[in-house]
Amino acid sequence: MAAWTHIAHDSLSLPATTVTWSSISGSYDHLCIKASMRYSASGSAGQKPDVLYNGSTTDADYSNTYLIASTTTPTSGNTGGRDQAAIMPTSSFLADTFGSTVIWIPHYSNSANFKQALSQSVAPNNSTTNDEWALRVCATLFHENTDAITEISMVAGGGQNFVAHSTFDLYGILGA
Amino acid sequence: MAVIEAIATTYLEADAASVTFSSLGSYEHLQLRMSVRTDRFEHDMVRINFNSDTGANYSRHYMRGYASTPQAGADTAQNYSRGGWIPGADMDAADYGTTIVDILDYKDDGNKNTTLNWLVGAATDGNVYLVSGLWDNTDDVTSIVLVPHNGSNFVRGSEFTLYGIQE
Repeated sequence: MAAWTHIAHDSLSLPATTVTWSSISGSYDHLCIKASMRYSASGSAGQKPDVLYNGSTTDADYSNTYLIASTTTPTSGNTGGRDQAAIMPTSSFLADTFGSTVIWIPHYSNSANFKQALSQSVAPNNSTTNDEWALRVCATLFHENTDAITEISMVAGGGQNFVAHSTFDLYGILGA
Repeated sequence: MAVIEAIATTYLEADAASVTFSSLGSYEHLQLRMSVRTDRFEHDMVRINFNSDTGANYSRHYMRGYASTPQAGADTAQNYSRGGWIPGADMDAADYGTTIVDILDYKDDGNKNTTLNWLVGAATDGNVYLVSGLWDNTDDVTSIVLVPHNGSNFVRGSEFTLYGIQE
């Protein structure tokens, strides 16, 4: 039976640009991130935070296949970049409204394969206007090297912050 | 205590008009997992209401994979949060749809509206959805009621499990 371990919990009492989990143990089979985030600055169609593995800020280390919508016409595609996995409401969205992001990183600790993450992320709002809401599903291949994932950072981006009360949880799952 | 616990499971031995979870415990996050079907003559959806609030305080945005043309859309001022396709009476009797809903930070001391992150699939009917739900209310979630959107009942054999995930 699968067993979950709560590796880390970060609840922001003040705005912060970055949340980092370092020295992640390799003793689990999979990792799962659950994040409730909101961006401190304005912007349409939500804000895409960076999700960095092992500290890499090189966009070329990340390949993404995504399906997204912020209008009535979804789009899909492939692109590089470290900021494709998630979406969150900006200060242009309804007050007190946070996004919901779940990221699975299976088999994260092996040293033979590139690592792939699968994310589902929503930025809700009380608006039907185009680009005042956003949805995102993304498969991200981190192919800098085949090292185990030992560090994950989430960066709000644009020099701005995750607002206070944003929360970030990292779980390790042992067993199928 | 385990990090993820099944708070409650409801397995329908007979058709039921609604399913209620009213003891949500004290966790960081909730997750609903459903295998569900309704008695509507065709496909249906699941509605969620929190804390018995049936006012026009809910919004949803969806992205739908259907045939070769994906779709998306939005609804505001709704009286419920609703997901996507689940099978109805026109589908094979053994066909139940799968729905998973993450509800993060459902107890947040009044700082956040409640956000739902729905993933819904009904393979034989050819639909898959990612849906956001917004309950425009910063109260802690203390109860969850599930009802069919159009049908009268969830049918026998539907199963609903609410999980709590620890901080």
